[in-house]
Amino acid sequence: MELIQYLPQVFSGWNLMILVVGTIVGLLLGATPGLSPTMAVALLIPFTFQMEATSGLILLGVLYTATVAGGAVSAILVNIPGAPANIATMLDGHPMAKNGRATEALHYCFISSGVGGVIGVLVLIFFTPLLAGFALRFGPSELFWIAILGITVIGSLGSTSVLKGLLAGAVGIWISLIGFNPVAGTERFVFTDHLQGGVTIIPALIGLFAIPQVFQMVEDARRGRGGEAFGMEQRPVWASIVYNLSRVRALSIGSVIGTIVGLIPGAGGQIAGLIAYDQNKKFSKHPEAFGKGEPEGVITSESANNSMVGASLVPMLSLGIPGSPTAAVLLGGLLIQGLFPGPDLFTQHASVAWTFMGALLVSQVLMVVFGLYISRFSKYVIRIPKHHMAAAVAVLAVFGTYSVQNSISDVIIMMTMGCAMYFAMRFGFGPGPVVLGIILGPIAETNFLQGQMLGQAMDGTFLYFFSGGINLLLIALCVLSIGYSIMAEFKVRARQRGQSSDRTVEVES
Amino acid sequence: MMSHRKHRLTAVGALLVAAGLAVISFMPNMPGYEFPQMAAVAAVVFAFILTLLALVPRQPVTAIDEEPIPWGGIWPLLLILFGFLLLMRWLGFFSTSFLAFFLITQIYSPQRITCRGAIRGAAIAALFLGVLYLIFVTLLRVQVPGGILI
Repeated sequence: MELIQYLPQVFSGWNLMILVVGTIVGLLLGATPGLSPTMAVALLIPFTFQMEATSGLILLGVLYTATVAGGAVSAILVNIPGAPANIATMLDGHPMAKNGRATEALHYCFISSGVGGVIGVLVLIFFTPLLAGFALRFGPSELFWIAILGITVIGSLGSTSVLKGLLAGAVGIWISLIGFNPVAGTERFVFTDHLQGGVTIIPALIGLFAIPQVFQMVEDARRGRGGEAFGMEQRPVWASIVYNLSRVRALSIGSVIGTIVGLIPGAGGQIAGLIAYDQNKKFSKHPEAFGKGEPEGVITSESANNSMVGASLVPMLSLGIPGSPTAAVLLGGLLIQGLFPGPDLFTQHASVAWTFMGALLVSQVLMVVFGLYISRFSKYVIRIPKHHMAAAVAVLAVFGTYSVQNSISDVIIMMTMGCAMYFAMRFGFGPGPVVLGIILGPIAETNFLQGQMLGQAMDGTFLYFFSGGINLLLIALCVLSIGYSIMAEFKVRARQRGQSSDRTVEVES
Repeated sequence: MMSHRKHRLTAVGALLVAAGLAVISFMPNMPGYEFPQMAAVAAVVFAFILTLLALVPRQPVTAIDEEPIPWGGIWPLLLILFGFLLLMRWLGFFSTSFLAFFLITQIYSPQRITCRGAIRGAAIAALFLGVLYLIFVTLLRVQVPGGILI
């Protein structure tokens, strides 16, 4: 099997060092309140640019894994999830810390993350080549619809409002088209010299994720949010391992739900953790203990959000549809290295793909080892003041953006997009759909133009794009994903209206 | 009631932005603009539905997820970021970064500004940038914008 063939490369000096350093840095970044995995990966993409493709991807993948696990630290200790994926961990992790069981909660978090993570990566290893093989049947029309599907699912699930998500995705596509038409070579929308090279992925990624976070952190610092921390009790790791592994139901529910949610493009880790938490509570003999410091709550949610990581890379590596916003950023990292998702990745660049997946598997073990070791020092990381974090992120954002092409224009684009995104976020628009539009827009356009030429040479453009089993299936999936999201949003709104009218009746009576 | 009004304003604002993109995309009568036109039309359609759902019913159907912009808290940061862009090419990346780091930590510190706090802030900024310089400029030879200082 290819995985075993390429496994020695994972343990080669440089890659192993990247794995170890990436795991430690990822855990620390994840533990820092306000630094999300998406932002951490986006900030570090420029530094992988000068690395070999395999090493660069390993660093990004390891950071993704470790930041999601590390995010539980601030969720448990300060009741602020380090990443959206850790929201469910907070529900029982923080009450455990309040009850003097902080170390125990952190132990369960890393052990469960490791178990869930291994299952997610195994799914990645076995499913991706199969799905990529299927993608061999895809021509320009199918690839066009896949790009559209990617935008619709993230657009539908990445924001609180479906319409706002879809609108943000459309604006993201439009932004990606600034510069040159890839086929005709026409210059478009170049209103200033700074836009002559178009809007490239790195300035967009860093600007859209890092700069709004800087604003959020200074706002929190000004209001004096965060800073509360708990003492850490002494607890033997072995006792935690035995207890954790004996919670088979919690681990199974978390890992299975996390994997399924990860495979659905756009669902994101926060949904995986919350669904798994809810299901485990329903199956539990004592559901009333949940929310008051029940260890199974931490175990289920952490195994879910880490099994989601590996699974979310399945559609990304095989079809180019990211399973989560962080996977979308990773897709950007892949494209920057000149690698394209799909069957070619497993034939022409097999060593990169298999070494990357092998490294992800090893990183799960390293994450548990280092996570358990550094959990005792977590209290120091979460005490870093928000205003210092904001200043450091702002400087790193400029440094990272400039270092890729030595271009001031990139820095200006990054800063402008970041500030605009901050204001857009205050109006309910999320950065995920915009980024996905920017990444998938050029792919959609290139395939659209190629399909148009092929269609004109065949039975007509309309028939070329709207006929054939795979095309129709993909169109149906696009419609289904939008339709389902709209229905879900209406349901939530109806429930909210019902609750508010009930409250009004209560007040009146 | 206030949040409903803001929600409606957001929807109308989004429609205006989408319409703006459509106008820019349809103005040049040249080949190569088909796909931007499709993206702009899609944006207009989504913004139009958003506006319709926000304006027509007495109570908006879509989620009200807007938050007020805390202008009082963010304007110094906006100025610092703008100043960063202006000064970077003239002063050099590290000098400008030092100034930006120092100003952000001092302005947004929950404690009152004191001489001791300022010295501490300057030391942290110098340490952070020193490590950045050592790793990326000295060891990895990464290029940074130069100026009259470093």
